[in-house]
This record gives sequence, structure tokens and C-alpha cells, in this order.
Amino acid sequence: MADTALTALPAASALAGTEVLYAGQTDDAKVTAAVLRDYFRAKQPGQCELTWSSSTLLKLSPFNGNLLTINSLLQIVPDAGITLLVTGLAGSTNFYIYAYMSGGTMTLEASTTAYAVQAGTGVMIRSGDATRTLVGFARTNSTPNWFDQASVRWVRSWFNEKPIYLSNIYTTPRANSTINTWVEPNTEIRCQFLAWAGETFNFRLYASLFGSAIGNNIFTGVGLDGLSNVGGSHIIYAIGSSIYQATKTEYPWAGLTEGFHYATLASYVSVDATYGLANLYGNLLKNY
Amino acid sequence: MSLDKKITQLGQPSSLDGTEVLYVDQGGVDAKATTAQLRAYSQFNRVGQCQMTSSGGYLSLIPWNGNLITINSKAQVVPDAGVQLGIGGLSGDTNYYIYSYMSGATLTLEASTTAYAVQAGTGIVIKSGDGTRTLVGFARYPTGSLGWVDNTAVRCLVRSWFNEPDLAMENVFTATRTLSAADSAWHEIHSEIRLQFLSLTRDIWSFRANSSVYCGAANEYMYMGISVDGAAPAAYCVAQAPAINYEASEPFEIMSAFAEGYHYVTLVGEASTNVTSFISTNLNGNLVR
Repeated sequence: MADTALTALPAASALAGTEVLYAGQTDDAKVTAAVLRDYFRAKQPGQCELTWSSSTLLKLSPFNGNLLTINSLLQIVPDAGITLLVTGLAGSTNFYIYAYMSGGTMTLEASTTAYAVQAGTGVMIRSGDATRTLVGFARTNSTPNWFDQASVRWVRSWFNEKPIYLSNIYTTPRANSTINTWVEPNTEIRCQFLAWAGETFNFRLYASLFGSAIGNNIFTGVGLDGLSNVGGSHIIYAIGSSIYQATKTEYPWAGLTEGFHYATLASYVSVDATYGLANLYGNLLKNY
Repeated sequence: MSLDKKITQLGQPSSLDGTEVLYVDQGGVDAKATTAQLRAYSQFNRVGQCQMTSSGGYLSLIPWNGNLITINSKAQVVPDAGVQLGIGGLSGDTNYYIYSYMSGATLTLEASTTAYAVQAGTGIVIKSGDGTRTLVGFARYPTGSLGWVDNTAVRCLVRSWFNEPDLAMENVFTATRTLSAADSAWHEIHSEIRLQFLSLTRDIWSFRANSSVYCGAANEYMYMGISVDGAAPAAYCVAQAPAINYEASEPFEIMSAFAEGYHYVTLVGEASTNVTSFISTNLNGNLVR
């Protein structure tokens, strides 16, 4: 039969998988479009990144390419990206963010339905619905607004996420005079974040502190989600009355449960202590 | 028409020379496409199987976990030996974006101060306004250098856009360094401890200092911080000496995003009335992944 040359292959998303491609030779050779598509799909299910765009918008943008696998087809992430309004969502809630095709338009949705691995492809989808591909995880504040800043990391991208770090400080000296029990001297230093299941966040706490008298025992650690779980605790023995001493502690929190967490400065004193300066840092440890 | 033969698996994209013809069986009339088109079609899968490094005064783009790079919407092969770029015609102390392009059939590197942009329609990071140039790195060398400089323990001035290895730095005071200006102002303690680096927009860097300090008077406040580009530190630590020449530990850290470009960090101190000395001091940092 007569052959017709294609000037370009159709968009990947247009391939049904049933087409057959032939290599022209004395004896033509052929492969199916399904084989080709699997071949192409080998490495990159998501050339995109979910980011915070504004207090009301999340954005999915192209990243090192612009293709995303949705329902086993490669779809194009528009150059301008696609956005998701916070309007209508509940406050103080964790949402999984999924991408799907609404007709020919890539669209985002926020859902509290967890994700699952799609059988046969390994792509992360909304559990029970392969038309939705997981692209991120985000939390609203009480307003509700989308929120992401150095002390609050509430927008996570499933693909191509940039490094996640946290940073917060005491803006003024904070005292602890509650003896022999763990205390959070002030909540303003909290670092809040969303974690994927199993992640490790490493926290470092730097403090310049003093006790009211020589010999005060001052324990300082990093509290995770409160004071019942304090890591990296260490002791400073006050060397004088109101003499500043600088100290550091570090604790990697491994095996985090999926969802919202926070870290804070935890203090335990035999008499009292004042934290003149305190800086709390944290970052996601990635396996590379 | 000749007999058809089914291929169970395609060869590696790099083995396709672009002249092969593939046909789509659609019943009445077959359709066909060249493997060049197919290779372009597959470019999304292999945006940058390469790494930019420096050696012997040259930048090199070498294969990494494959050897394909997308340039102008086509997958091109990074030669086994890599491709190199010297500093001819360039200026020291200038930040250059490094782009790869095809000069005829030859993969070539160029250094440009023109920033990058995301190419519409592909998402590939290219030289702004020029889809024939694909970003592969970011580099700088000091004035007076005879070539590009390797990354060392105290500087990271060669950055790879693709497949970059971990970056870490460390520097120390080679002797006890004294802050003699007791004027309640921040001063760089000594420039020998500086760490220099190029930062890309998405980067997060963490820098940590560990120092033992002592002062010539009891109860003197001894402040220490990490300065970025010589500015006063936004955060810092403080310790006091309960007695003359009493040593106190001052650990500290900053972790932050930085504007794209060249930066350095250094240790700064502040003392109010007496000389402060910094001993056993190190400054280290790393790119946070």
C-alpha cells in the first residue's frame, strides 16, 4: 500500500497505544505505539513543580521539560503553568494536590483522599482514581490561605522539589522559670512543616542563654509536636550569674508520619534560664 | 510491499542517526515518520544526561548517566571525551552562564552573561531569547587566573545545571585572630576564612561556624556572626567571659536562599570595650539538597 510521510508525530497524549510504527527497510520492521510510549516514559513521569504562588494560589509549572503522565498518557504542562485557588477549601487542613485533564485542559484539585501507587505503571495517583496524578501536598491556615515561608513550609511538590529549609528565631529574650519540667518558653520560634511519610528533617538549635546564678542546670532541646518528644537535649551548667553562654544542639527527626508537624525550642531548668538569642533551623534530608 | 518485521524493543536513542523511517499502520494508507522526529519526540525523557566540571583551566561538559542533552528541541549526543571551554575573550570576576549549542554537528559550549529562561512549549531552560542554547552551568573565575578554577574546599565557582555533585566547603583561621576594634560595631575578623560560591536561584546554603573565643576582661560580651558579602549579620550569637582569658564556645549557623550570583561568607565579631580573640575557629558550609 502507499505510504504517507508524517511531518511530525502527533502529541504523545494523542497516541492510543494501538498504532504500529514501521522502520523502512527491505523487510519493514515495526513497533507498536504502546512500546514506544513505555520507552519514552521510562524516566520522567513529571517534568513539573508545584509551588506557592500567592496566599490564594498554588501553581504547577514546567520544570526541565513540560510533560506529566496522567491516566497513562503524557500531557503537557502549559508554559504559564496552572493554578489552584484556595477558595472553598477548609481551613487548617492538609490537602493532596492532584492534576487531571478536564477535557483538553490540565487542571489541579485539592483532595483529602490519600494517594496510592497505580498498578501497572507505578505512577502516584489519587487512590482509586487513575485520572488524578499526585503533584503535591499543601496545608491551609485557618483563614484559609496557602502558606509558605521560612518558618512555615506548607507547600510540598511531589516532583522536582527544591530544597526545603526552615528557619525561625526569638525576636526578644525569652525566659523559663518553670523548674524541673519541659517548657516551651515561647511559641514564636516554632518551625512548622508538612512531611511526606518516612521523611527525615534535621533540626539545629543555636542559643545564647544564661541562668540567674552559678550552677543552674539548663537543658535545651528540640521539641517535635510539643514537649513529650524532645530530641538533642543537652545541658549547660551556668558559669556565673547572668553570664551568657552560647550553645548548639542538633537532632535529625527520622521516620516522620505524613502530615503536619512542628519543631520548637524546649527548655528544662533547675532554677531558671533566659534565652537572649535563639535560632532554630531545619532542613529536609534527601537521599541522593 | 515488503514484508513487515516487528521490533520487540527500540535501540538506544543515541544509536538512531535520524535517517531511519518509521511507519504508522493505519489501515488504508501507512503513515511514516523519521527517527529524527522520533528522537526529538523523546527528548523529554533525557533533558540533560551530562555534568559540567572544571579541570586544567577548562570547563568540561561530560556524559553522565547517559549522553544525551536536549538542544533546540532535539536530543544531541555529548561526546565521550566531553566538550571543553576556555576563558579566551572572557573577563575575570564575572558571572557567566554556560550554554551548549550545536555548531554544525559539533556540540559546543559558550559563556554568556545573558540570563536563562524557560523555553515556551518545552520547559527546557535556555539562553533567554535563543532556543538554540541550552543551559548547562554557571561559572566564574578570579581576575588574573589563567583559566577556569576548580571547586575547592574554600570556593565553589563552577556549578552544573544537570547532575551536580554535592558541594561543601570549609575554611579555618590559621592562627588566633584578634578583634581589636572594641567599638560595638561588626568587623570581619580576618578575610582568610572567607568561603566563596556561586548561587543559583533555587539554592539553599547552610553555613556553620565553630569558634572558641576569649576576652581581656571579665563579663565582656563577645558577639560572633556569619556575614554574607560583608553585610552586618541578621542573626548572631553571644557569649561572655566570666574571667579574663576565659574561653567560651560560640557555635553558629545561617541557612538561607541567596540571590543568584557570586557571594562570600565570612566571620564577623563585635566587642564593646576590650580585645576579643578567636581561636580554633572553622567555618564550613554546604549546598542543601
